Amino acid sequence: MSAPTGEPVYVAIDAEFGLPHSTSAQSIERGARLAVEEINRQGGVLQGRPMQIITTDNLSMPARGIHNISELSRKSDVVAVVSGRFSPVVLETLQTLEKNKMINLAPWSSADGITENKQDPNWVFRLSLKDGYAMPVMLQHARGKGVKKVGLLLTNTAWGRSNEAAAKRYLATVGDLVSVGTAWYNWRDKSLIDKYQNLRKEGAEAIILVANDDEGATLVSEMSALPKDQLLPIISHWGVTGGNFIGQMSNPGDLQRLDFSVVQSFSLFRADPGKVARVMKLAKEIFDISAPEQIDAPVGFGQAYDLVHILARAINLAGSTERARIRDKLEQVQHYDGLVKVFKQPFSRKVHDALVQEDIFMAAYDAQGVIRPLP
Amino acid sequence: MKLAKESWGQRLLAPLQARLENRVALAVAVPAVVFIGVALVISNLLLTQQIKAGVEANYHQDLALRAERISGVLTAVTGSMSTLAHNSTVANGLIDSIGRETYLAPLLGGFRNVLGMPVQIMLADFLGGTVASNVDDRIFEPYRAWIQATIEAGETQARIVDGGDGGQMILVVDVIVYMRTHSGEGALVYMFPLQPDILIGDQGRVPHLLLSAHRSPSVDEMLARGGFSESVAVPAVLAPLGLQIAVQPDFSAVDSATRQTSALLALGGSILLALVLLVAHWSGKRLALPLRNLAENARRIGDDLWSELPASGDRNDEIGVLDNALRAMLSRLRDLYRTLEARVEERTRQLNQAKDEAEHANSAKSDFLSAMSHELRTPLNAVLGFAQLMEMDPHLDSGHRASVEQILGSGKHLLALVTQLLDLARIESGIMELTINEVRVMDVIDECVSMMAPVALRQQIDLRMSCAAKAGLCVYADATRLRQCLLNLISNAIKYNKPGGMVSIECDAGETDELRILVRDNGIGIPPERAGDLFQKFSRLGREASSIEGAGIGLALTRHIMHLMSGEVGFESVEGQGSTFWLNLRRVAGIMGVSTALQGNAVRGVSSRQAADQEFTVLYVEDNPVNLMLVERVLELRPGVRLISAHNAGLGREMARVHRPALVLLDIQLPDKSGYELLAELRQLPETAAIPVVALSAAAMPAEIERAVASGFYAYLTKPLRINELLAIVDQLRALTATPLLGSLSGMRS
Repeated sequence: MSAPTGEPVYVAIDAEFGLPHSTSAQSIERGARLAVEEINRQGGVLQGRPMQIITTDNLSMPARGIHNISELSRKSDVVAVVSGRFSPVVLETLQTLEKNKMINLAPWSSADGITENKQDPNWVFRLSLKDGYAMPVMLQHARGKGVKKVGLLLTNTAWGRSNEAAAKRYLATVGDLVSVGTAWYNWRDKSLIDKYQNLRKEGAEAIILVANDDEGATLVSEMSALPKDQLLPIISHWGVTGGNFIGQMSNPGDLQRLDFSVVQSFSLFRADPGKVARVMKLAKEIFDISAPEQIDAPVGFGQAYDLVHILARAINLAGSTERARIRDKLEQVQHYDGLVKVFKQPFSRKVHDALVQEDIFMAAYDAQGVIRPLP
Repeated sequence: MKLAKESWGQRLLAPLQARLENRVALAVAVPAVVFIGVALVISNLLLTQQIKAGVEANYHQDLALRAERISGVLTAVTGSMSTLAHNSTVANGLIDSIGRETYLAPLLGGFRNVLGMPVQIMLADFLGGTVASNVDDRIFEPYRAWIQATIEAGETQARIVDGGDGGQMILVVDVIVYMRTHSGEGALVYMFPLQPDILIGDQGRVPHLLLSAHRSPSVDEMLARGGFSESVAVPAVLAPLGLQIAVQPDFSAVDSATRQTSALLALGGSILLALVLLVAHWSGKRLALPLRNLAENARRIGDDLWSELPASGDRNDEIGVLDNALRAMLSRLRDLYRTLEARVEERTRQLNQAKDEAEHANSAKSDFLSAMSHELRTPLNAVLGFAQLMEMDPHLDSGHRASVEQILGSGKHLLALVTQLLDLARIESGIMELTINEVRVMDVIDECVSMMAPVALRQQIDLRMSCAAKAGLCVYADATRLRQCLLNLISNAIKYNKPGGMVSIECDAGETDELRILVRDNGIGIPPERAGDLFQKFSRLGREASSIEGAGIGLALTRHIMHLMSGEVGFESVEGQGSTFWLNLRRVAGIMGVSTALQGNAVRGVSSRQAADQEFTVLYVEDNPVNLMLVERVLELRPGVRLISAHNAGLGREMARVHRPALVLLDIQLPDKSGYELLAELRQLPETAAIPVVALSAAAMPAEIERAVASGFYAYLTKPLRINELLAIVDQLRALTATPLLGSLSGMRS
């Protein structure tokens, strides 16, 4: 196969590249790049046009995301935007996406509203965890620990509310687990311990945490000062895995004192070893990364990789870079044997979430800080 | 300057000072008024100062309080806003769409009014776009770019913007920095008015209160008009704006209070002043009445020293003493007056006597001169007259002729000497009278040259004049005396010359208002050692040389006369080469026409033969037989002229009436009456009224000649008689009687 020589077809990544300690955007980019590399080595798309990645930085701020999407939409050869970790950013760009007829590929952001929007046709295609799936898994995990009462510690954003809704839906279906209440923390809050303690005093036996890496690290650091009997299990949403969670703690050993689990939708340690070996070979070639343990924020890596491959198939199906046609074809891609799993048909007219409840599992950080699926 | 002020003051006070009681009142009242006035003015000034200072202090205090209050409000506003901006719930709105739509707007809405200050708030994203707002966010539209730039810079800032309705607003961008990125991700933007009425509320009490940014024109203007200002301590974010509170002070209350005080003080002062004046006037009057009585007495004495005074009031005070002193003084004065009167009478008598004596002496001197003139001339008249007759005798042998010429020469010299001596005497006694008229210089020079031409010819001197160009120029002079002076100079120039020499008469008008007549000769000149006393009388050059005649009076006389005519005489001379004498006289602007003197000259040229055959009777009224005989002999020279004579005026008049002569020769000093009286009589008689009358007199005073001509004499001939002059007049009249023009003849001056 000769290298494609035609006009590039652009795939943008608008994510939190400049956010300190964050690794999610970089991880998403690596996965996307590997996919693009593979596609281009096989002759590109549209019979000889190479795919090319361009990136924009939203610093996790919705306003920046909106601005970036608007700018990217002006380029006709940008066929899709791969979004980042932060649900609020993606949620707030929905209007801009629809208005500009821009496809959004979501490899991380999990708020239910991202795909369950009112768009018709729907311009967002997610291959990731969904809060509606995550919360049952997390609460089930709590039940597995014999916990009867949980406290919800949530970020005061659409993402947080999306999780609260999901938790309530689930708890309504079970009889042995209740919520003692919800504590909301805000962006830029410098401490979460009071909220934690309030939930504990309310009788919470475990904490359902919906937070990002920095806030999670703040909580873990604050908890290290507590006596052991005040340390409750933390069942965390995966926002903490989007950055250097452990590195932001005041003492990296703090996490090991806790029962800290995190929900995941993909793990290189669970994936098909043959596929992992092939991907790692290319990763070694391009990024000089040889072991799966070296892949930070692995969900973003694997899910972005699969999304770009699905996109390439849709482009070829569309036969042009016209976004409306590609969007239509994304709903028609079939039989994609991905890194995350084998997809019969990732998306359809009605379903814009490529993953299902059964794909979700719990994991934990090992002593080396590597996220490993729990048995 | 000071003198003028005093006289002004005196003028002002003069009417008041006319009465003593006024003066006394003024003496008391003026210092009192000045003192009271100064005291009032000073106290008024001090009071006004004090009130103003008090009001100013109040303003300052008030301003300080207001500044403090404003400072409090501003601190509260910016503090609340800063708290909001740093509040995580608010900041969370930047990443939470649901939140901003649900609770953020109500939250911001709760801050619409902070301590009465309306605040318009907007939560902005990193582009300055509205995330949430408690107002219609379009008001922030004009500042989006600045807001964005401020967020990007990451530093909270404030600025003054126009509020739209003319007022000013403070716009603050409190930047919300994301701790993790250290980037400005948004801002709490708020705006509140800078309007004092909202800030201050009770604007009515302090007019024109203004809160404004530093260097604002309105504050500067207010300060320029005398306003006060106070800086407002503000939170750090507003510090760069340099807020100031200023007030335009209103001193109208002070002014009105001051006016009231002034009016009260003025009223009080006026009452006090009136009292002082009344008291002063009353005491002045008490003092003035007896003084006025004294003054009245003094006035009576002044009017009439002998007037009776009313009885004294027997007062024992100073006025009584003064009254007694006045009466004593009056008594003494009357004594003195009597003595003085007697002395004055005696003195007056003595003075009158002295005056009479002086007048007598003066008159005697004039009489002496007049008599001398007459007495000396009369015999000389005879001598010269008869000598002239003898000279005309064709039968005279050469020996006798030489003798006659000698007599004539000496006689003329004697006559000239007498004339000059008399003139000098007249000048020195101050009785020389000159008649200054406008005199045509050319006429005088002409006359003199004609007169001196024969003498010059005899001495073989070339006499010439070169004044033709200046022919019309006139000077102010007495014509007769000017001629006398000029003749003197020409005569000297000829005299002190050598045969074949030259004498020239020139005029020099130049640019000045003077005219100079020069008599230039190339004669023997004047030695330098003699130049100094040349104009002294009896100083004669060439006295040693007996050949030159003269008495040494001519130049002295010339100098005197020139002086009397406001003129000058002078000379330049080089010994052996000649002299130039000159006369300076004041010039008349312009040029004069031909004079009567020339007409006289023309008449002289009439031929005697023309009228020879006609009978021509001349009546001579003369008491001196020698003179009569002389005139008889002269007129014999003219055939056809018959002479009749009368020895007194009465006879003369009768003879004139009867014989109706063609000419009357009249002596002025007749035994029975003067020549003037006879002339008047003749003019009264119809038979004699038209007969020309010629005066013939030894009185040679110029005034007398003038008088004679003015009285109606046809001509005035002085003795010693110049025969030619008499014959000329006779010839003239004979010629004219042949024509009908006789009646219109004008007088001829000699």
